[in-house]
Amino acid sequence: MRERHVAAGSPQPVPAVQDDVAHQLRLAASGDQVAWNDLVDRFSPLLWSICRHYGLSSADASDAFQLTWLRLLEHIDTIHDPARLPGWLGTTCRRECLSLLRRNKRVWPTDDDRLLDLFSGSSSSADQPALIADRNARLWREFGRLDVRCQKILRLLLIEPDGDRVSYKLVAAALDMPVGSLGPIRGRCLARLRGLLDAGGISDVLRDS
Amino acid sequence: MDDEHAGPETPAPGADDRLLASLGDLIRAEDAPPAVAVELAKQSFGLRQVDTELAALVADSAADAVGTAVRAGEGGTVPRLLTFEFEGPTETGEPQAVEVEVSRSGRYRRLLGQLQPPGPARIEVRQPEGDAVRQVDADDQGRFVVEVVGVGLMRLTWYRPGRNAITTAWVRLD
Repeated sequence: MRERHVAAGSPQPVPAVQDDVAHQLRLAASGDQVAWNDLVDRFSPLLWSICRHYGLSSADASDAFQLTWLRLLEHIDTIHDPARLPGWLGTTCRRECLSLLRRNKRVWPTDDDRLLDLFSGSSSSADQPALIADRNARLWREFGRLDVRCQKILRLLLIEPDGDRVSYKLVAAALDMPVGSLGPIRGRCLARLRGLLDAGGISDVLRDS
Repeated sequence: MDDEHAGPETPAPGADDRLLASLGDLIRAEDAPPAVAVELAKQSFGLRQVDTELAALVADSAADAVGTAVRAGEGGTVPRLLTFEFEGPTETGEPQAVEVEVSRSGRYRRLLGQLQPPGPARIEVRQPEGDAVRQVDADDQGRFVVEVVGVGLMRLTWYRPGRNAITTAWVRLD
């Protein structure tokens, strides 16, 4: 087979990550608790974010989160193609969140997210150098001025330090959106945030360290 | 990523990285899953049951199913009716199912069950936050009662002589 070069600018495949997940899934299916723990560690931030994305309270988010993992245990032997795992997790999580929302008839208006965030309090730690804390506070304030949709999407797409194709697949399934639409939305939302930071005269604080 | 240079006003790549890193840190600090939830998810591995068939939830009177006009259980006094069915091939060709009526009993719930086809069986009740697996027996008519079940997630498993064990999907008792 001839080696082919991926055209510049097109998405890079991440076989290593995919293989890793597939491997862990196989091990977990054969009864390996450590592999299961790795899967939980790998996908928990995203799944939790999705539950919050749907506006679930902390208690309901815990239920939907837990149910998603229990469903994976129920079906772990039947997911024959491990590449489907991220999509499967995202879809399952969405279904459990929507089911809880329906059951509770407690659908929060999307704008309430800001309120929720206010009440959950800022977690910037007090021992940070004052300059960074101040910079982060200003960044967070401008982030809060983005439209809710942008805030929600960025929360999902930036929850992982190096979001990869696996994460994007999961998020796309969780939001029932085409995976290809996430990158452009992310770009637009970041551009808007940058605009807000520029207008506030605080974009410079993000260029030095 | 492939979308970092999405707008004409995009500044130098370095600035973008810095913004992404800072914002990512803030979002992670804000949205991290609670340690207790992650721990519970890890522990749930111990609840895995191999060599059992899965019975899916096919009807839930509380879920506004299509064609079901009643919202049983909404006010807390009408019992909720759940039906789980194993759709795979069975030894005898008969569908294997369980119907469970969930009623309130103070802060707990009471289950009244009916196996299909009727017949004796051993029933196990599992809850992720509960301690041990509880067992009750279904009588010759396939009826059983579980007097005290906590609210939260729950599943039933039934064993009949000479047949594969069947376990229900997890369901949330409100």
